[in-house]
Amino acid sequence: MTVLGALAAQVLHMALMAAAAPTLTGLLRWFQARMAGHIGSSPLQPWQDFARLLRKQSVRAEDTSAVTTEAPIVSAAALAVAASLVPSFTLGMTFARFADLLVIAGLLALGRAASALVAMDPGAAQGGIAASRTLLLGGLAECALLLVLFALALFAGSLNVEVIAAMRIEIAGDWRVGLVFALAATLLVALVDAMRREMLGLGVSGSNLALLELADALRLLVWLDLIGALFLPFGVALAGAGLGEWAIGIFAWLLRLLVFVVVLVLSQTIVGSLGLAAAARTLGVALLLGMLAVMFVLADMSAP
Amino acid sequence: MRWRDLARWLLQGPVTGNAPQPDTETARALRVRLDAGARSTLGASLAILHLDAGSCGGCEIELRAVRRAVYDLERFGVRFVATPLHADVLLITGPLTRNLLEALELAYAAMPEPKFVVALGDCAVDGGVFKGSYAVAGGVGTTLPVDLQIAGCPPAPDRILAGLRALLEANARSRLKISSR
Amino acid sequence: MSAVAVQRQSVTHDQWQRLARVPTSPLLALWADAGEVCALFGDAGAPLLVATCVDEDGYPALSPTHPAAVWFERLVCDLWGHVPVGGIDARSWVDHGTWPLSRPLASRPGPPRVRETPEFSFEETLDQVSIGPVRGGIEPAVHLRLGVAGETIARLQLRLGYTHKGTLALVRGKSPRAAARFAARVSAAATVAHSLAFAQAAEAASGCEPPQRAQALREVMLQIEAVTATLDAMAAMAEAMGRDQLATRCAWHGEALRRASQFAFGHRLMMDCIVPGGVAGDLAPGGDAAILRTLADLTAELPALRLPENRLAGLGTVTAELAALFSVQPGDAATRAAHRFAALSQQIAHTRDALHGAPGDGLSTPMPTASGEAIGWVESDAGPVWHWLRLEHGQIEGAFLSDPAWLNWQLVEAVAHGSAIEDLQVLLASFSLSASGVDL
Repeated sequence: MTVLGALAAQVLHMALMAAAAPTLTGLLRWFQARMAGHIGSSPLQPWQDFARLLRKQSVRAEDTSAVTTEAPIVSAAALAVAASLVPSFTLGMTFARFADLLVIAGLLALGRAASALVAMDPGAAQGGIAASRTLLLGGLAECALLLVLFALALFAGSLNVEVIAAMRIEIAGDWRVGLVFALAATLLVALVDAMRREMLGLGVSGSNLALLELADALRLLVWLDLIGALFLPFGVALAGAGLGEWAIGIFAWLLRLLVFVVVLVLSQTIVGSLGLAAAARTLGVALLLGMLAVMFVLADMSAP
Repeated sequence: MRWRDLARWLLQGPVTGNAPQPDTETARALRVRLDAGARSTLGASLAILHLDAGSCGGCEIELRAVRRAVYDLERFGVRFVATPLHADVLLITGPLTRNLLEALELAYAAMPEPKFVVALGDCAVDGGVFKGSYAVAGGVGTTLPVDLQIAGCPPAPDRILAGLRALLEANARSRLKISSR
Repeated sequence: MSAVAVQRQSVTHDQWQRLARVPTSPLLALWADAGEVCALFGDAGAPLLVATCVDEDGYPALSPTHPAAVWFERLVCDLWGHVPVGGIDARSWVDHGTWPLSRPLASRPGPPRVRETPEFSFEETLDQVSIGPVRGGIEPAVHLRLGVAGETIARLQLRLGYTHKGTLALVRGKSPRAAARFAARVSAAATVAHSLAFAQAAEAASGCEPPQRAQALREVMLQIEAVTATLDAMAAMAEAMGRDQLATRCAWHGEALRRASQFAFGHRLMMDCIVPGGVAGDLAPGGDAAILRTLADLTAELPALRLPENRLAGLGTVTAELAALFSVQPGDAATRAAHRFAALSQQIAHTRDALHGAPGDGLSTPMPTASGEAIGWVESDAGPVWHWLRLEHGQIEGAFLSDPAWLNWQLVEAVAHGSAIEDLQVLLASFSLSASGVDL
């Protein structure tokens, strides 16, 4: 029964993630438009956009190689796997024991590298610039993430998301300084990631473009689920929980997503578009916070 | 920009006005054209590439108005893109100057099927006042198959919106028609 | 705003070159007419029109001493075929070799040129980024070539001419009334300013005076256009900086004013509303009230429309030296934004004054069939608009229609270095740029 339950949770989780990714992008756009005094397109518009892109012929820019057609698949697949590993509403899913934070960080990096390759493939300057920007910011973001992981691993004694999340649920009131820093670092990384969207798909069209956009949408969702599971796992059901707890978990998950959309759009309204230098500086701050998180967790451990 | 102003603007809500109805006559003609060409359609989502082929800038002023909050084109799922590879609609302003012919042909060729051509403004329709100049080919129709013409010098935003909504309508309707068969 | 009937001063080649070395007289425009090349020097108050004859070699170039002459010399070479002897740039300008003829304004046009676009020259150490002429967004057709080092623009060069429509050839041989439609379409962002400069030149050249009410209505239209153009420019800058709320507010007021213009004058941009001899129609009843209402709304919200300056400081700085050369204000993008913002309240006040002082009646006087030469000058939001006309028996024999974009594009080229690549859009938005205004 638990095996079946875990499988059902996994399938439901994947379906929810697939449904949420484009909708989250649409919701962000809609809310942004509302903030700017527009009526804005419906939050479900990205579904229409995907449908349109799939109906379009896939044309390749001149002088492109197989990278242009294959790398978008790699990128989207890497992000899809990452998305299936990060718990959303419940723990104890079938893939739980693979949900190692290093694996997830690696998948994020793989997706980013594949997208950057797509951007560079046509050999045009604009794509190269976009690729270099995404790799610069991605490198900084993933370094910050690794530091946060290190802090969490020291804290929980494991790198498995589920183990850490279970521990966080158990001692939900424990907000030691190191964890606050780690949360702040992850939040900054997610915000910068959402506010800077490089034009990586200038050389692709049709379904390849759809895949790149899907990867982008999934990445944002993975960040949000990581923040949810590692720092704010309110309402997340434990392994072997019943349907009622699942429903609460789903509700709490949706609530977290909504709150993040509001935070993101408000920060965008306050700072305007985020320049490359400002983005790099912000990620630098995230790195510093990650470093502090590690130091404070270490200090906690050595204290009697 | 102060917090108080920002809060006031948010409380005021959208400044977007009521949209004009899609031009039904145009939508019907477009649909016939789509069916005749056996072209597949794209549903309630379109990506536009704007191409200035010698415009004086008047059509651009009105096009910007259509994109901005008061007319808010994006609420219908229509967006402006930066490369022909991402575009469904090539929207051309200006009398088609000879210096731009090559860029126009390249852009159109690079667009993936199915694709549409819109001539915006009197100049793009037939050359307008610049008809007959040595530097002008005179109208988009001389070079590309035009699906939709939006006349005016420049066409008012309402007219542009009605025309583009007709294009959306034709895309949505033919799809329904196909699925109901 | 003013118009002057001018007497062209014919000078020898020596005097011509000496004039160009006078540092206090900025070059406003350069064109050709009837075997001579004309140069317009000086400030708005006292323009100086000199001409020198073209012999079989050409005419002495001004570009070695006057950098502002380079683009004009290339234009004169492409359209009239007159060669600037000793010029520093021999590349073509608007003639990309796509026309069925060459030298279209020469007395005997030549055969088509070889298909060729003007090439760029960059240091080999720089990477190049090409943008345009199809740029995406809603932008004029211009090709920008960036020489970049990392994320920084080291040099920017432009290729224009894509929107060349042959306007100068189209106005030839027509009456000023018939040609006014082309003047109104040099650059739509300043259509009223262009129509007015053209009308004033035509009136001064033929010695006629438009009725008083027509003059007052012209001033109203000119000021309304200045307000909308300023609002458009502010919205564009706000958009480029990701300040969407601010862009929406600026665009909303601009749209309200365009609707009021439609109601009051019958056209949202007031295109073709000014004709040589007067105006095309009277102010609609209630039109003045509609305009005043819109302006009151705008005035009430004005303090909230100021742009945050954090990304503008130090961007695209026009040095004092450069400013003197092009007779513009020095300063960076933040200065330009502040100037715009300050100009807005003045423009609103001017519109109100003009509306209150629209006396009498009489909208238009017929244009006499006269001969003469004159310059019309109008200050637009983006800078001065100059039109030069030569009439023979009521028909246009020669014309040059000059837009402030001539200055502004050259400034962009001169000040872009040192900016971040991603600030390019903000930089461009901080100048008022029109491709059609330069390409003609």
